[in-house]
Amino acid sequence: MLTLALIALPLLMSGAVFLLGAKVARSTAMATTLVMLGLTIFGAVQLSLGKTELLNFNQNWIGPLGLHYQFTLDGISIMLALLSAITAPLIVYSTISKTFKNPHVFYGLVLMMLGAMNGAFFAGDGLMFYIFYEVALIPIYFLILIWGRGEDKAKVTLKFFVYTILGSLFMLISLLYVYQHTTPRSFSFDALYAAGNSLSALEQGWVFAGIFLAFAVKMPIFPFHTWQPSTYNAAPTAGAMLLAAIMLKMATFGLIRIALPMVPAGVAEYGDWAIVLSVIGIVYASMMAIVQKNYKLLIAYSSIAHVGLISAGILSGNAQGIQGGLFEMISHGILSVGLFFVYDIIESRMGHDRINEMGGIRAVSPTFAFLFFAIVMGSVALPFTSGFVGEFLLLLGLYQYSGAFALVGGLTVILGAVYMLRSFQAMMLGPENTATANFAPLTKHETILLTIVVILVVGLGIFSDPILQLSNNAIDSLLATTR
Amino acid sequence: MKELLITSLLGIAVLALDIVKIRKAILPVIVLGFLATIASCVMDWGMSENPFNNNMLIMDNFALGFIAVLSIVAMFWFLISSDYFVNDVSRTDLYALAVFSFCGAMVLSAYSNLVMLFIGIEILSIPMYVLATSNKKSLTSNEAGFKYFFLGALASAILLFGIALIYGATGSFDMAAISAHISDSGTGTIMTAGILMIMIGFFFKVSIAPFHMWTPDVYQGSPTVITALMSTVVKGAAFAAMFRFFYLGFSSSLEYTSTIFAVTAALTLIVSNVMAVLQTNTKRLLAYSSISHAAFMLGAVMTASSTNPRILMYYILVYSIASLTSFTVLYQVSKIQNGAEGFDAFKGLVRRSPLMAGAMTLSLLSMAGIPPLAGFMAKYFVISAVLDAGYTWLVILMILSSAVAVYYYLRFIVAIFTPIENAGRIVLNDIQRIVMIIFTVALVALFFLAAFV
Repeated sequence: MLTLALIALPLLMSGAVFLLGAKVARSTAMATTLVMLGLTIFGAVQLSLGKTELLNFNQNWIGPLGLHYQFTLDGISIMLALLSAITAPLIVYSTISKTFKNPHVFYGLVLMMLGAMNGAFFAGDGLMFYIFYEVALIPIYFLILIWGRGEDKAKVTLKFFVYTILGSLFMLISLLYVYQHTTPRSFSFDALYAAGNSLSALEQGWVFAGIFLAFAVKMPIFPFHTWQPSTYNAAPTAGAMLLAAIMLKMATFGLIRIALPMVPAGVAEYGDWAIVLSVIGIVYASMMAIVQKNYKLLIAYSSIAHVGLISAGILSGNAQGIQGGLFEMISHGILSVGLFFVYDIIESRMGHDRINEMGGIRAVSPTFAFLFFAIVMGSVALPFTSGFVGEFLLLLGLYQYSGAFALVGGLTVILGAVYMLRSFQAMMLGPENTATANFAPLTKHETILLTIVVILVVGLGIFSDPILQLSNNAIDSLLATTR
Repeated sequence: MKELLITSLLGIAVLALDIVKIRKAILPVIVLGFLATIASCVMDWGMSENPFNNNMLIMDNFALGFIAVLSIVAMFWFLISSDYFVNDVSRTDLYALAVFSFCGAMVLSAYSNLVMLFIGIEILSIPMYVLATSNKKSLTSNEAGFKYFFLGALASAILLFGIALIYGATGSFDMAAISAHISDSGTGTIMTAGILMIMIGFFFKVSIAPFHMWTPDVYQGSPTVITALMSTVVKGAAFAAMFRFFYLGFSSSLEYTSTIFAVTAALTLIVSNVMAVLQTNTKRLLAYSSISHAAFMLGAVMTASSTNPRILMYYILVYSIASLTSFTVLYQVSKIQNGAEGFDAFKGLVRRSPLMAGAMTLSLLSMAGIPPLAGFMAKYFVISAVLDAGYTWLVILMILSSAVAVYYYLRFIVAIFTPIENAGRIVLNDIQRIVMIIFTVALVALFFLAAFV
C-alpha cells in the first residue's frame, strides 16, 4: 500500500494542482513532496525492520496476459525512492523565488513526473516499468517545450523525445521477447528473470543489446548522448534538475533491476562492449566538459561522465559495483540539484553563464563561494563527501572486473577535478570585474537550499553506512540469482 | 436483426422529418436511434445466434460487438460534427446518407454469406461517394468523390470477381458451407485466386499499400468532417468485414495468406510513415497516419485464427476516438483561417482553445502509442498477437515505425504550444465541448479498461 501511495499521491496531487489553480500550486507541490519524503522515510524504516507487508502491492490488471499492478519496495528500489524523495522537495524549493507562467501547469507536470518515476522505481512487472518509464517523458517534454529557453527549444525537445522513445521501444522489443518465453504468460519480474535465464547466451545478448540501447540513450552513454547537452541547456533549471537528478536514474536502476538478473549470460558475454562504451563516455565527456565555455553545458557533460562510471560499475556485476552505483545515484542526484542551483544563482544575477567572463565572485559573496566549493568537492569525490563513497565503490567494483577499465574509469575523478576546479577558479577566484562586482549576496532561501545540499553531501559521506546497509541484503540476493 | 432495422428506419425517419419540416429534431432523433442500437446490441449479447433469411446475416457476438463499437463512434461523429451541417441546404440528405452508409457497416459486421459481403460494401460505399463530393462548390471535393468512386468501383469489381471464383470452386456463397468445403477438400487454384482477389478488394477499401494511392487524395479533398467519417466508421467496418472473412470462413487459408498480410503490412508501414514525414499539409498527413494505423489493424486480421476479435474492436474504438478528435480540431482550426491546413494553422491553439489543444495533444500521443493512453494498449495487443504468430521482424518494423510516427505527431504538438500574438478564440458549441471532454477522458480511461479486452 505504501508503494501505491507513493505513486498515486503525486499523480493525484498533480491533477489537484491543475484544478486548484495558480495561487496554491507551489505550496501544494511543496507539501506533497514533503509528505512523500515522510512516507519514504517511513518505508525505509519499515524495510530495515524487516516488515514488508506494507511495501508490496500486487493486483491483477489484465489477467490472461499476465499484467499486474505490482509494486514492491525492496533494498534496491528504496535507494531510488530516497533519491527522489530527498531531491523532489529541494527541486520544488529551488523554484520558490521564480515566477512562472501558468504555475499550476508547471507544478502539476513536476508532480506527475515524480509519480511516474516512482512508478518505474517500484514496478515489479516489466510492462509496468516500461509504461512508467515512458509516462515520465511526457511531463518533462512539456516542461522544456513550454518553459524552456532558446529559439530552438522545439527542435531540441523533438530530438530528445524521438531519441528516447526510439531507445525505449527497443527495450519493449526485448521485454516482449523474454515475455514470449514465460509460462504461463506473465510480465512479473520473477517470471521474466526465469524466462530470461533459460535463453541461450546469444539470445540473451540480443535482449541485453535492446535493453542497453534504451538505457544508453536515457543515461546517456556515448555515442547516444547527443540529445543531452542541448536538452539540459534548453530546459528550465528545475527541469534540468529533474532530468539529471532523478530521470536518468531510471536507466541506471533499470540496469540493476532488469539487465543484470534477467539476462546474466548476455551481460557476461557482451557486457564488455557496454562497459567499453561507458568508459569511452567517461573520458570523452570529461574532455568535453573541460573545454566548455558555458557552465550549464559543463554540468551537462560532467553528468555524462558520472553516469558513465555508474553504468560501468553496475555492469561489472559484483556487489561493490552495484552498491556503489546505487549510492552514487543518490549522491549524483543531490549534487546535480546543487550544481544546477548554483548555475541558476549565477545566471539570475549575471544574465549569462559564460565562465570566462566571471571572476572574483568569492570576494563579493564569500558565503556563496564557500557553499559552492563544498558542492564542487563532493563532485570531485573528495573523501568525507558522498561522491567519494559512491565513486570509490564503483571503481573498486570495476577494478575487480578489470584493472584496465578501472584505470580509465578512474580518470573521471582526475579529469573531474580538472574541469570542476578550473571552472570554480575562473568564476569565483581572481580579481573581480565590473560585472561581478555587483554580485548580489545570497538570499535567505538560496542559502538554506545550498546549505541543505552541502549538509546532505557531507552527511552522506560520513554516515554512509546506514544507507549502504539498506541495500545490502537485496544486492546479495540479486547476485545469488544471477549465479 | 433489430439493430439493422432500427438504423434503416432511422435513415427513413430523418428524411421524413425533413419533409414535415422539423429539422431541429433530426440530430436528437439520430442520437436516440444510435443509443437504441447500442442498447439493442447489449440486450442481444450472448443470445443464441438467430440467422436471418437463410443465413444471410448472423447477429453473433462478433457482429454485435462491432456494431456497438461502430455505433458509438458514429453517434459521436454526428454530435461533434453537428455544426458542419447547419448551413447546408441539403443537410438532411447528408444526414440520411451517413445513416444509410452506416447500415452497410452493420451488414459488413454481420454477414455470413458472400453476397451480403458485397451488398454491405456497396451500401457502405455508395453514400460515401456522394458525401465525399458534398462540398459541391469545391473542386477538390468533386475530384475526391470522383476518384473515390472510380477506384472504389474497381475494387468492388475485383472483390465480386473473387466471390464469383469462390462460388465456382465451392458452389456456395454461404460462409459455413465454404468453410466446410475447405476443410473437406482444401483450397484449389480457383479458390486461392478467389481469396486473393477478395483480399485485394479489401486492401483497396482499407487502404493497404500498394492499393492505398487513392487515400491521401480522397481524404484531403473531401470535406474534413466526411474524412473523419471515412477514417473511422468506414475503415472500421471494412476491417470488421475482413476479420470476419478470415475468422469465420477462411481461417485455414491464413496459413498461406498471412505471409502476404505480413509483407503488405510492412510495405504499408514503410510507405505511410515515410510519406507522412514529408507532408506539409496536415490533412494529408493525417491521411497517411490513418494508412499506417491500417497496417496495425491488418496485424490483428492476420492473426484472426489465433486471437479474438476484441483486439480489433478495441483498436478501432481507440483509433476512431483519436482520429475523430484530430480531424475535428483540424476542421475547426482551418475553418477560422480560410481553410489553411498547414502546421501554422495549429499555432497558438493552446490559447485559442485550451480544451481542443488538450484533446488534440492527447489524441496525437495516443495515436503515437505512448502510455498511459489507450493507443499504447491497442498497439500492444496487436504487437503481442503478431509476435505470437512468429513475425518478429514485422514487430520490429511496427515498433520502429511508431518512433517515426512520434516525430510527425510531435510536429503538431510543437505548433499547438507555440504562442502567437493576438490569437482569436475558437468557440465550440456545448455539445462539441462535452464530446471533446468525453473523448479526452476516454483516451485515458480506455487504457485502464484494457483489462476487459
